[in-house]
Amino acid sequence: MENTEYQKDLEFIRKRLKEIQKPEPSPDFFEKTRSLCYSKLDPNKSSQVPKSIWIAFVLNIVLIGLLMLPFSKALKSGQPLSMQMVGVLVIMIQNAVMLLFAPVIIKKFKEKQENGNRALIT
Amino acid sequence: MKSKNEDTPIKKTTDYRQMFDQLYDRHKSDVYHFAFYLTKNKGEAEDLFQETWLRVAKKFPKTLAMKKVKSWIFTITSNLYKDSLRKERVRRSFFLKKRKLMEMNQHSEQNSFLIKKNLHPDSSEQSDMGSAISQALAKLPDHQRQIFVLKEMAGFKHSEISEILNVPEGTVKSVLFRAVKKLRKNLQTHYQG
Repeated sequence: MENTEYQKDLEFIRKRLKEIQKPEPSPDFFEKTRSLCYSKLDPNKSSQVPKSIWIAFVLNIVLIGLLMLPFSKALKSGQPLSMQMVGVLVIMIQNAVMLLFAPVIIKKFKEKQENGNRALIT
Repeated sequence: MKSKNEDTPIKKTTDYRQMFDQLYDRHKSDVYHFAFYLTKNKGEAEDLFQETWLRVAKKFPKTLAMKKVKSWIFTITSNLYKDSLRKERVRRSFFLKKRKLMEMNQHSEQNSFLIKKNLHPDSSEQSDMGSAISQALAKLPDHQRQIFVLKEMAGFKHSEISEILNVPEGTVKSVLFRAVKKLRKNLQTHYQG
């Protein structure tokens, strides 16, 4: 019973909604806002990775591969690794870890900054 | 104002502005109407609208990857409105405290008038709503009006409104029920004279 009454009320209101005068903003407001938004669109933002970065990335991998050759030879022959070799290995591992975790750290830092800005505004 | 909520994909081009225009032109009217019915004031609606789209532009083109872009845009509008209400409450609380202090110190009528003016801004600025239905909508409490506008004017489903406003779906339905009842009552009073 209550449902039918609710439906009737809703139909009544929907009929009245058709009479509603749609609110209009000030003249040119939509276009002014559009222009403002254009300034926020960064044309340099691209989803494509720049070629130079790919080249540097490939060169880096080749270099690491070449540097790893003495280690692989030493490991195959069962020779103990010298301190210098260990040092180089540690640096390579450190670089790899940094490469993996840097994007996560940067993302969290940006989120923290944004949250801070939001708190300031509110 | 009821519009389809199918988020048909935006045509991808190399020009960000063109892609943004597609999104903007598709949703600008609905977002403006929503902002207007939330704030009941043209000036505030324009501010809310602009702030919403600036935030959308800032996130562009990541927004294109979203499944329900329209819901996301309306969520921004709703959250910005909530933030502005919170700021207004703080402002009013400040002026209320100031008023109490001044009354205790027995200041002049002129100061009281200035404080009252800040607490009760000119009603002509408050609402630009014209017709009976608009006035009836304006009388609804904020949360009822929000849900009613999202459902009956912007065309969202209960589940989508629940996501936008971050409330359970059951709450959306019960609040909508109360909103309809109240609107009916307000309109009945008007139409019976």
